[in-house]
Amino acid sequence: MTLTNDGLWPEVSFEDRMSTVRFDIGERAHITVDSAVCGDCSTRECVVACPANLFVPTSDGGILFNYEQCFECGTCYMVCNREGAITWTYPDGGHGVVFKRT
Amino acid sequence: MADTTTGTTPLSATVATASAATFDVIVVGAGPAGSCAATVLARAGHRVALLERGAFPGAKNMYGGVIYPRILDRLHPQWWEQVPIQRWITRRSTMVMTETRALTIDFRSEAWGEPPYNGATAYRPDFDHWLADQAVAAGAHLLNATTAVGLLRDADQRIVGVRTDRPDGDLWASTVIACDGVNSFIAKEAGLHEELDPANYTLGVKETLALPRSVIEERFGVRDRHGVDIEILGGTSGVNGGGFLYTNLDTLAVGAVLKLPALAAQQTRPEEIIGRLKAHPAIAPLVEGGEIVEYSAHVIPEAGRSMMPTLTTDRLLVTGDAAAMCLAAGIWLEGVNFAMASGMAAGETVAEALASGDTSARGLGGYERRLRDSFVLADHDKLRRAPGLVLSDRVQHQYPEMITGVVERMFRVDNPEPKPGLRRILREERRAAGVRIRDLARDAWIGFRSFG
Amino acid sequence: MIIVCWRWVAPGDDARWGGVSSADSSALELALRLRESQPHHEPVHVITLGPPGAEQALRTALAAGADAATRIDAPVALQSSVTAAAIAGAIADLGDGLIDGSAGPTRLNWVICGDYSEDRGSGSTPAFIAADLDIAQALGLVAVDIGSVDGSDASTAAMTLFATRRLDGGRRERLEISAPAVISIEGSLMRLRRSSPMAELAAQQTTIAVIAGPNGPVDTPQELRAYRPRPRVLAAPAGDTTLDRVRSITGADQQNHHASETVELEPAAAAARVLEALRERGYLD
Repeated sequence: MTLTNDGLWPEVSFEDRMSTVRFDIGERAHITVDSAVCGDCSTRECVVACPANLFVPTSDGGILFNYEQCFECGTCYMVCNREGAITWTYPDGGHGVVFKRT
Repeated sequence: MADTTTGTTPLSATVATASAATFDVIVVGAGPAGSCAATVLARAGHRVALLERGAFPGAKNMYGGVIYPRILDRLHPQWWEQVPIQRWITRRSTMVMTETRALTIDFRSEAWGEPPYNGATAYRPDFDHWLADQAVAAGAHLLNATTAVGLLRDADQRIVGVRTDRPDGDLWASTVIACDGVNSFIAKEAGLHEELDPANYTLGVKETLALPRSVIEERFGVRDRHGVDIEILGGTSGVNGGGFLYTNLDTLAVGAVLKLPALAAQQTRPEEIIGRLKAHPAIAPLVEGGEIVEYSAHVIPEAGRSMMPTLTTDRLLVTGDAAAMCLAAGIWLEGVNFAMASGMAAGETVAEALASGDTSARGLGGYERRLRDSFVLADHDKLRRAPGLVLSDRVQHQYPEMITGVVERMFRVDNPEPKPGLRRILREERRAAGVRIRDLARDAWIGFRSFG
Repeated sequence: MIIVCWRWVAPGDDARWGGVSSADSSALELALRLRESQPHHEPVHVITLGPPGAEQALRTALAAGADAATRIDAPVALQSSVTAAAIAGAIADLGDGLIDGSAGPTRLNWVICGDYSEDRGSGSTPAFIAADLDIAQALGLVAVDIGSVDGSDASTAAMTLFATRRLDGGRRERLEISAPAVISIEGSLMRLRRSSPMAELAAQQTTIAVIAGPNGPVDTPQELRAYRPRPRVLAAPAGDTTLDRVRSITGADQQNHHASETVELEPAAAAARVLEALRERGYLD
């Protein structure tokens, strides 16, 4: 465990952070990313802005996207400036994030 | 702009038939707006379907602050005896922060800790669930785990219901109330929103941190179920926005609200921004040792009046966050109360329209009238320039430097130097922060007009 | 009749987050498909233990197409054998002669359980149910061939299922199972269908039978922690050169003590041999 913040408290890894959230993962990918459209995007707003860190740049210049741990917040399609790059829907009823204490 | 389709297949010439799936009203979304609308309508004797895409109402909902439930006085008298809250806010602090300085205006009132109270912290999965329970008790038909995917229209393109993602999922009704939150796909499909501008939105990210109840009460100086709400200007790693820290019963909520284009244009990730806020010398001693028990995030409609969609069209009303009714005016940060009030107004209007048999835009005209007569549009109209001011670069970056600089100079004892005059401090700190007097005067005027 | 047994679990005892495992959902879907594969209507009855909050899950089952649901009012944390006895008792109470087939056309054909629960217990409840009902069991099924159900005349013909069962070491076992039997299936088998809005609303109005269950004894699990084999003291490898030490560690030159061994013995002797082998290999003290 790495200590940050001058050692005041152990900052958790991103995986541990996401493991505090419950997701009932549906079969259908409710968000899809067209990597072909992302290919020539140099700004990559989604990569820094997505609070769940679901957009991962790949070595061939595309974007790898995971829908499973999505907060369904809307940030990615709002910051994206590429027509058709992100297709965003809600997960099927009853699936997706389940908040408890927030 | 990105493709934001809801995955809906447009329905052409779907003709409504009398069937068991027919309701008077369909309320899309069982958040604060939807549950209040459904309660009003069910009590008026109407057959209401209340759709919730989560497994239960509140499952999808998070926020960063305080609920002001006085609007419930009419709908649920003595609500404070039942509502599942965490703590009643009796201490309200506003903090202006730079990297090394913090100025806090701290107010406390014991009156806010007694009925009818003022504001409360709550977990939205608790609060929203309770509010939906009241709608069910009033006779609304709650359908959990049901995502609305689009509007049903008849041959004349009139809205006649909602298509859901369940099998045989078409539900028919003469009126639809869109309470589907900030992404608001129903209102977007109906063409009520202007083109989406990311500058109107912020991302709220938040950590819920577990600490023993006694530790929280010691650190924040409260007892019983009293709590503290700290709203922070600055402390967001240079991204326009704000921070917050408030107390629940045995957890703290700490987080940041970040303007989307500003967040996307830099390299610090949202959770790192929270991490830096937590490490700030003014915040670290308050949150130290808190273990993250939940991390959450959502987009917030931040621009208020200027981004509101058309609220009423034939057979459709838009409420709450779907209508951008969240109030982000710096010293006032509210939303759940606006959602509840707009939901109640929508419910009352539709009940009236159903009684008169006219649910066209004209028949639903009472909705906007009600909102204008209440705080919902009155506050938003008055504060229409406040969100822009609060998120402006000067308020975000220059004024905190200037204000905390002035206070530091005022209280710094530079003996043997004599005390400088306040005018001199103001002038020097204004120049040091790069604030032009003309801008300062204009911002003060907007602030005075908005808040005065 | 097809009985579906669910284990309803609510983390933190809050019904909002309560539910059943994907294996339990899968069990109901299998029951519904079995029913649909037959010309006559074979009732599907869902049973779970739990507090009133568990009824929401049962209503989901009713909305999906189950004919009836019973909640046994008992703590979720009962010991597996007690849970099983309560369920077996509830099944027996559904009708005289249901189990031995003397009740005529409605007889018990299948008791379908999920192979694991949300709280991942020992997975022994289905076996206890089979023992209590004194019928066959086939547990841990990874595939069930519904097409082969012989349901042309349920009142006289023996119903048979062909299924695949998971064994250790990635092996599979093909089974032919005759009703009545308890089967448990894995969650990957099938997903429970979604119900229509009107079925969902109708299910909310349906009365769910509630019967009183036992209050204890409950399972008191030991502290929950990740599985770690106990450490064993190993001597430093013998040998003067690196190669010798590697050979010593890997046992390349030695007879393989860990080879599998096939014996044919009476059950008691076989069990003793298993224990002995475990001791020889250091797994038991």
